Amino acid sequence: MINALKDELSLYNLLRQIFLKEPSKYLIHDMNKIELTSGNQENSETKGPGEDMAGYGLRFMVEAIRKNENNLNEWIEDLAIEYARLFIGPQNPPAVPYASFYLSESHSLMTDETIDVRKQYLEAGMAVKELYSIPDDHIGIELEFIYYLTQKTIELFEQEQRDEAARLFEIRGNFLSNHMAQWVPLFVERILNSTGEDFYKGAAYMLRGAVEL
Amino acid sequence: MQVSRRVFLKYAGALSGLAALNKTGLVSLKHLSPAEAEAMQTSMGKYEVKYTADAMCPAECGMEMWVKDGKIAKIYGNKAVPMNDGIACAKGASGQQLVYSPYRLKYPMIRVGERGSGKFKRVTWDEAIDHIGLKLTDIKKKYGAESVIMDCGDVTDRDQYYRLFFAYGTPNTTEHGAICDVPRRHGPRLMVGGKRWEPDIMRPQLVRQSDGSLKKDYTYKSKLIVYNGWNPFVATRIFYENRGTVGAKVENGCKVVVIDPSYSNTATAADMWLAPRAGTDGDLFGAMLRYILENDNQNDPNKKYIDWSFKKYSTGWDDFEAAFKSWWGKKDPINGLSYFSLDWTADRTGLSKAQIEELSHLFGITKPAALVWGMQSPGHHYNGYCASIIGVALNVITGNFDAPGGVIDCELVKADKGGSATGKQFKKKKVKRNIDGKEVEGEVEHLHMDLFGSKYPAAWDDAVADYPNAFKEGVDVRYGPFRGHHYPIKAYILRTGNTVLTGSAPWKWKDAILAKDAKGNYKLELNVFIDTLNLESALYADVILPEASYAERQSLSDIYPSHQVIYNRDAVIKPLHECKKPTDIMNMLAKKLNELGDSDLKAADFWEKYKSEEDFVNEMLAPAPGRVNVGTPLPYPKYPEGYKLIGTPDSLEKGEVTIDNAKKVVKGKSVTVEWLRNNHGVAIWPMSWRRYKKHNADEPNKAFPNTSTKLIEFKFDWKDGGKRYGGYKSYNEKIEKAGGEVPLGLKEIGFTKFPETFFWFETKWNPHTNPEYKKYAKDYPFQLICGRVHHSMSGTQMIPWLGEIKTEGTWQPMNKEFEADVPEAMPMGDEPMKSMKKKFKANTYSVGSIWMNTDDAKKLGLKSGDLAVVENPLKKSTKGKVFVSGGIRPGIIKIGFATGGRFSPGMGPAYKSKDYTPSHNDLVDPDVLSPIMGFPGYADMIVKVKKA
Repeated sequence: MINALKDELSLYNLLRQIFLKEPSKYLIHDMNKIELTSGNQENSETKGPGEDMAGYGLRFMVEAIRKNENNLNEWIEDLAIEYARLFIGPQNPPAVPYASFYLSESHSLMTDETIDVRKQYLEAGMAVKELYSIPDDHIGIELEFIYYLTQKTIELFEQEQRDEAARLFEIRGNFLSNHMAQWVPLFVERILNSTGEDFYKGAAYMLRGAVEL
Repeated sequence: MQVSRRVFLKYAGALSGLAALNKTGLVSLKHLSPAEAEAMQTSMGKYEVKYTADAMCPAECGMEMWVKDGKIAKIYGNKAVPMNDGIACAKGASGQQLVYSPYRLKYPMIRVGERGSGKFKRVTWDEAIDHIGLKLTDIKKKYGAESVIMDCGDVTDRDQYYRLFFAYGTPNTTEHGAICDVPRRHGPRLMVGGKRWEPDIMRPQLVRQSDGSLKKDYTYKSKLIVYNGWNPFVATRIFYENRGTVGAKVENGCKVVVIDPSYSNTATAADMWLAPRAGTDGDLFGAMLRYILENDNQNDPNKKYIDWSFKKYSTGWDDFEAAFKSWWGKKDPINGLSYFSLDWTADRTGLSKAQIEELSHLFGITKPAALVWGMQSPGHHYNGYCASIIGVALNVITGNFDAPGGVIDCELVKADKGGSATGKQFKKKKVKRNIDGKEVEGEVEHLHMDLFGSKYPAAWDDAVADYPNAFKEGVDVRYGPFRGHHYPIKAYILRTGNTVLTGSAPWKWKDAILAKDAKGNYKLELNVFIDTLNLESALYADVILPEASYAERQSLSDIYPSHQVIYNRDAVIKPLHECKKPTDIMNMLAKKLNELGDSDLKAADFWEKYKSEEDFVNEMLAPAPGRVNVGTPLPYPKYPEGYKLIGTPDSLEKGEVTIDNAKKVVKGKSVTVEWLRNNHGVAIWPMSWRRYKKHNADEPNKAFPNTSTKLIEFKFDWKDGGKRYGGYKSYNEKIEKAGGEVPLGLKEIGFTKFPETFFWFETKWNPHTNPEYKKYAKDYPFQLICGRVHHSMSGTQMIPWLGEIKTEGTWQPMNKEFEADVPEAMPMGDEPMKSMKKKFKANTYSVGSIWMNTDDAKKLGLKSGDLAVVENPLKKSTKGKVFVSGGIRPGIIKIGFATGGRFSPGMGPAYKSKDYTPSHNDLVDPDVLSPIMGFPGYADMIVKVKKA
């Protein structure tokens, strides 16, 4: 079980990096080193996501990197522009990356739903660094929260502090299924409907898979 | 503990090998210590009340915001502020929708595609400031600091930007007033040194009682209010006019007259609605003045129109009257009639002689009364200056100026603020320029593109609508010490404005911003957009800086009350996302410029001086209230009449002051942000009336108004005893020193200098009054006017609950059916929430519309909802749906200002309807810039209409 959690740790770690900000050269060059296993040589577009949505998404992203291997630096710039267009603006970003946009009646930011997220962070002894400025329920921050809980659970488990590990693990499970699973599919759908960039399509699939694990 | 997973990750192994994932530190979250966690736990859910000033619209009402968990939870009106007396309207109450909009600007961005392509990437503040700093440094070295324009745009809180750019060395800073209502303000500024004339209906007023105490007085005194082209029920810059107009009617039997070609919301409360042709305000005012002068009879109580005591408090009336009367003997080429006669006015305005006579008599005989003229008209006409000057004369000679229940110049009586924080002192810096091989010295302010430029040297509010020409052709300095100096405009920094859409004609602005030199580089080398919202102008920016919203920054209300009132705009919450406060932006840029070697930007003037925005605002507050102790009842009987008052209301009340008899100043304890916070956010000093008159004698106090003689001036340039006086004096001196060279604006109307007293010229594109345009009358039978829909302008477009509400005939539920993604209602159990497409039925959501008269529409075969094309003689056109009603004069078309054709996403629903909503600005003639101050003739146009 702990091995499974360790695998997930990498998954959430990658996802938080992808959704918190534009991909760095370092990350893309690194991801380019991922070897696609022989069983999955077919083009991902012809093969549906199937059950392993996260894996499918990862393959999508890696293939996108491979396609742009010859002009990676230019393409990384394109990714930054696409990240801004999708998630930031200045013109209406099609995939607003905050939970409250999807969950609140007003479709705005910093709603009661955001404060609920803040309370769950607090329950795990955590808070947003830029409290009151950056909405707590940004997708990247929520992913970082899951990443942190996963890491902490493993650590506590290995230190034989099983009760605390179990408590954090429960917070994690609740946060994933009662909160993230409620809005992330809507967010993912918006990304898929509005981007032509395979890297972000892949990221969207991977995110969906990660939330539905 | 169990991990249940449907599918094991096939690539988990591959991922764990990534070096990038070895970075395990937290980026956005932090651990709390147990004490921190507990503190946060206990503070959650608690309310804190903050007093602040609104900026959802220019009314800037006093607000009370309740903050919980770092966010605005509730918004109320602040009962302590007399501007709104506790009221929060729908706009004010919708503040959270702007502050917490998912579509506001969040991060600094730099353009990566061509201007207008909409391609941007996020950058850090350091990168953005670097980019701007390097460009500004380079521009200053190559072309001079004057090549940079800082346009502080729409709302308030702009002093930091003024300071920064004055210190940088450019005098070319401006604000939205330049494209708001300049001709309307002209008469007051010229004749009393003020700006806005509004009826005395702000209630409550704090009034000194005969026993020495102060009392909040709610009594209305007005008996007649005439609103000409002014629609305070919709365009709420002066918020108290909403309730005050109704209050005066109901509680004091005040009559209300509305003069407007359209049946405006304000007209619905009027006893008399007059609908003249557009652009004939001055004609009607002139007729009223002539009627009053011809029919005044001091011995007949029914014709005692004039209160001749005004002559004691003014100068130059005889000259003004003679110049005005000289027109009576002239025949107007358009109709062969004597100027300002009833026949002449009826012919030009389309009103009946009886209506004109009734209005003139009613205004002459009813006291107290207020004649008020508006932003759209005469503010938006080429010859609005004339109307504004006659308007001042009408109020003054009838004894209504600053009378209880009369009309008040709010600019003259509002509290002073800004002071040295604004940085005007930097404009006095000596600079040298090389002109035709000769080194010339002058002051920074002598480089001003308008005040010393070749076109509008009296443009004291700046000629923003002329900027596109300046971007392309540069500036010719023709007056002052730098005469002969030519410089290009290389940088345009726009903050909280949207000039590309509304600065005159959008196509002209786009053309100028996109213009390139022979090498293919943009002529305008730097275009920066600073705002909380994304507007059309941002599409053309090179750098976008996200500014803290009005609830996230500290400043002061910018309002027009009837006596000195000032209130805090408190920073209610922390700036969201990566938005920054004006003070921080100022300091960052100043520091960067300094690092790049610009010694004009000093630590002691910026980042070391202003450690916080509160430091800056305290300096702004230092001169408050800064008005003289004048009027009846005397505000402070214990202090000498005519002395300037400075300090908090309580220190002045308690006598905790020093009196400087040499300078005639009474100084108490300075008003500070802290003082305001402790006093419901607001400082209020006492009201008085007839502030031009000694409180206990019928003679002028020579301390008010703010003119060269401290009297009301009907002359604008004259000599007396070897000295020269008047509001146009300095501009004529410039012309004389330049060998009589006539500026472009004056040339257009055949003047050789600024007039010495009453003057008259015709407006543009009006075939009913200007013979030049008669030839267009048949093919372009409609006059086009515009009006505001304040709840759906740039700053409020994105708020659905405001946008949906219809307004007059210019904002109607005429949407096409549209589909939008809407999340389904919260599902039960564990089912994830799904999004669903929802259809919004046609005609359920308000959009910009074209308002026209029923008979006109019938003749054209149009009915409400039909799509029509509106075209002008310049062959520019716009498309929109018509709204047909009897509530508009035949021959008039009205379109809301900036309601349609919104071409940038980011504007919420308005963008979706851009293809079938009209853009009034597309039809504006950008070459019609009014001759005195270069203001666009927004409402001077004729059009034809046909079914699309």
